[in-house]
Amino acid sequence: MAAPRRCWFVFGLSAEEAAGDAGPGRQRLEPSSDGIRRVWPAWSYAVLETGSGLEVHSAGRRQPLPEDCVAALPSETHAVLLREAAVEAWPRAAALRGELRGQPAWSRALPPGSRPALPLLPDGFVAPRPPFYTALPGALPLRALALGHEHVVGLGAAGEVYGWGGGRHGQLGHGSLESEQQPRLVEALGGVPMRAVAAGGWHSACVSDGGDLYVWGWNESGQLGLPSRAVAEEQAEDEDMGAGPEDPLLPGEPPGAAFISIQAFPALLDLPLEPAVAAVSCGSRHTAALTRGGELYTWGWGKYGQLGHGDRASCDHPRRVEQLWAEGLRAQEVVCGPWNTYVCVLQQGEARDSHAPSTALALQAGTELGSCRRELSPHP
Amino acid sequence: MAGASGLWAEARALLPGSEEELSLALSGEVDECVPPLLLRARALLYEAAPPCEAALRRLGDVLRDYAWEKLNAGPWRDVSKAWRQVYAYGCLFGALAEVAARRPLAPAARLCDMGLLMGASVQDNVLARLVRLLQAHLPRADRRGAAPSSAKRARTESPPAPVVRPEDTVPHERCPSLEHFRDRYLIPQKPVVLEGIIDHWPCMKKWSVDYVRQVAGCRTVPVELGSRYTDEEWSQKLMTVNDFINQYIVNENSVGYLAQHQLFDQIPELKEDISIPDYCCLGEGEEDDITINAWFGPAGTISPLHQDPQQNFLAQVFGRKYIRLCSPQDSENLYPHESQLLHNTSQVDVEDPDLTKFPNFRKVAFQSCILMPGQVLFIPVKYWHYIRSLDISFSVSFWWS
Repeated sequence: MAAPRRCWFVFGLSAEEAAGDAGPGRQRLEPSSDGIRRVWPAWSYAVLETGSGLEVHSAGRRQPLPEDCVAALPSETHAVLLREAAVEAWPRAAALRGELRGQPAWSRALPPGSRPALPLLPDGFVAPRPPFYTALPGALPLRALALGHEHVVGLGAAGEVYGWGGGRHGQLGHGSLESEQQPRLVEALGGVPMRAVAAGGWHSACVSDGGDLYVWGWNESGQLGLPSRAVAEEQAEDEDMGAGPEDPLLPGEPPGAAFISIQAFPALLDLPLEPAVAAVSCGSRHTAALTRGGELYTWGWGKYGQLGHGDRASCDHPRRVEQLWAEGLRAQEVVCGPWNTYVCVLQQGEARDSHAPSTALALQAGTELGSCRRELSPHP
Repeated sequence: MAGASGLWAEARALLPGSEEELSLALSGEVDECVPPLLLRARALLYEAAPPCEAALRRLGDVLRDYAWEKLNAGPWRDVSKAWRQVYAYGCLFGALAEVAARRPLAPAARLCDMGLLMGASVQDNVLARLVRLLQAHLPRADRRGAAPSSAKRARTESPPAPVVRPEDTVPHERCPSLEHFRDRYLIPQKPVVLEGIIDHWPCMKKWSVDYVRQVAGCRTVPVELGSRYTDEEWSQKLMTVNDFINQYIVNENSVGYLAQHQLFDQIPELKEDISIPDYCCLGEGEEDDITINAWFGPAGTISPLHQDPQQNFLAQVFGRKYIRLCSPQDSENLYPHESQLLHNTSQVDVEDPDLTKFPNFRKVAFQSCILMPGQVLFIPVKYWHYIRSLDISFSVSFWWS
């Protein structure tokens, strides 16, 4: 029996769709023979770490980055790159070409041999847009940091969580819609040590050492896994497709009674059958979580297929991605891009012929230099 | 089907004749990934007809959804015009895709309205022209959206109109001169009810719930749901004017209010039925800077006691409103909310004050009135006001400086 194979899949907006083409649906990322180790997604492109270094994948294109680049934080305006002795921000166009010529838009020297966990830097953190660097108070040693569209979530040395920045959608977790200029402790999570934090566009999440998942912020597309009016209406519309045009009256329900649009304090979110959660990642308006048993759950905005359930519906409760589970694929890592979800899976049991067509869903191989290209059947 | 392709030709004719003439210039910078999408959509429109509507629809979706995130990434006043233009293009391409695909027109009209509400003008406000065209082609029934005949209004007894004591009444003046108004009310900052000054406005003769349906029935507008904007369950929802009238005016299951909406920018036809009160010329600002809002709702809508940062003329077109006013000098006795969001709003319920919680409220001197159709209330800047509608009501407010 061959060793279990690790490989990455992606659901949702592809680089081709971001460039205006039709999308290929679910894709398997074909790496160079060294395999893909890490993924850092922007919206229209992604930076991948392979055995031979970092590469930029965009529509119809793969470019290696200089050898000394070890980590990336890409956006649609700039790509922040962690290099040997400095961290630098390069314009997106330069990153896509893999050509870092001239001077970066911004840079900061690093102590030799330091490998900060981006976006964290010694004494501060970096964002992939001006002004790039923000200093942090020295007395606040953080283990990890996640950036939303307007806010920042930090993980402290003892597993405590901080939320600051724009708070109009409750994404800071302090129970109000106020913004905070400086890092502020999320007191509601006091006493529960967290092992990881994540930030989406306007929502936040964290996982405790014990495997519990907490969510807070904006729930406009069900990204918190709580009942969402928009999702309910979308479902009602779909069901109504055959209904007649008369009677537009809604039942006399008090507005907003059952739905949650903003959750300003962290809420514990149980997955079905309450498995222990190992990791969480957030896209712009969706969320993905891994369990210790290797299941992948997704929920939130689904219009671009980013939830991986084979449709384009949004979902306001955690739902297991069956297409992976059914094929015996066990999820090891998950990284959400803004409108997609990258998952690294391990094939369970006997290695199957990975090129055989899947009965569950058309499996597609990405274009890869030097490997044979499979026939693509477009995802409906 | 001839009609349908005729519609496409008419819609397509709203765009410039050649691709070069459709300038996609934006009022500022946007992310690099966006211009190629705009160019791709434009290319589709100028290829040999008919365009690939699936591709056009996809591009419209992506542009709209990408711009939507920018529109929501900070306070509205900080959102750049360029992103609002991108959003408008997304709506334009989406609406054109619906027409090209010969699908029902209501979603296309809704897209145009989304672009008008949240976007910024592109191609000389082409969305306004497109929605007018679509409106004319909507089946008659959809356009007017007559209320279901079974909907006999189950009206619960409305509370009797409040009694206003003569000593508390806001003064009334009939057609005062500019100087008189300026010297007696504007400069000393005192409220007054002006009579006779809007008698000649066409809206006084033309407007009714039915007329609003006729002119604007299929148009999408923002509606406030919930009794007061200070309530936890309060929310805003987009719906057509027909749906709003059917659900919240004709049948009163719960409160819905088409409130504080610049309806006259969205539907220029209604703007022709009103004017700017002459007294606004006494202000310092430009006429173009005057914000005109529509307030259309059933009996029982409530605006909690609050203050606004500009002078206000509140013109009553149909229905009556019960209004209580107090001076900014009484602000400390009004217990404004502490949060940033609501610091211009009092915590006290004017018609049912909790005097144990808010004891100083009893010190406040109020003026009151019942604003009748044809009357205009002058509310000085920062003057606290509480408003409850007594009937189905349509008011137009003018915020000026």
